[in-house]
Amino acid sequence: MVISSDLNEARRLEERLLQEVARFGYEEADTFAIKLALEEGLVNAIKHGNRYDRKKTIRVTHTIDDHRAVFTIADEGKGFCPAAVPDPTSDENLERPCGRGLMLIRAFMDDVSYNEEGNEVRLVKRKS
Amino acid sequence: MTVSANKPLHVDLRREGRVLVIAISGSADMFDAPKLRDALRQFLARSETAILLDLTNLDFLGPGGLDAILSARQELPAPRGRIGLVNPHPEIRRMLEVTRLTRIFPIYDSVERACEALDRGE
Repeated sequence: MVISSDLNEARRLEERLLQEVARFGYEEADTFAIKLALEEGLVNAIKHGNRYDRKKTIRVTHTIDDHRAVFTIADEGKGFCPAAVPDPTSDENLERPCGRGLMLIRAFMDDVSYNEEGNEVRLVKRKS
Repeated sequence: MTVSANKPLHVDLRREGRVLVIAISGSADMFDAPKLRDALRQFLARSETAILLDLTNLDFLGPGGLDAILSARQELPAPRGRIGLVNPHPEIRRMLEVTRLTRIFPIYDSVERACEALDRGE
């Protein structure tokens, strides 16, 4: 699926994907984690990746079954280095907005990985 | 809790003694985070010093919603202003614990206990 860099489109896509997750009977905690990860991934792609440029697109793939849900979100940006993101839990960063979303998706999903360029994220959640 | 359905965000205000209670309900997702930030800023501009965010009926809080609450905290008249949270859903509580934001926002299990503690300046 391909969407433009638009939050409304991202929300509609997220809703469609969550409906599919619901059809497979994932528990609330799993659904919460997936929603959190999709939201962070899509917002990052729109905001930091494509910098709200509506001419640039976001590609999303998904595979959902009775065992796990896998999503990839790719933007047209230059990418980033996940290892360079500051630790949001250190005292000096606690109230700053940087890095918290990335940390949350790592905590709530079972696997989070990036391509070499850092402009595509793969998110995996195993069904509880 | 129905995370998959994007329930509209609602922010309601009431007072319990000296504590301003702001009840946030529905879903604070990527779309509604700016709305939440604006609503909280508007309420906190009243020079309140003890604020309780009642999260009992909040089904989902995304990273943007969390940032909205954090940025609202900066509107409080420091250093006296305090914000507590009550009854977050288990996954929202986990978010706060994972990010260590429980160091900034004390979490309470009941409105009564929260108001007592905030009133005492805890």
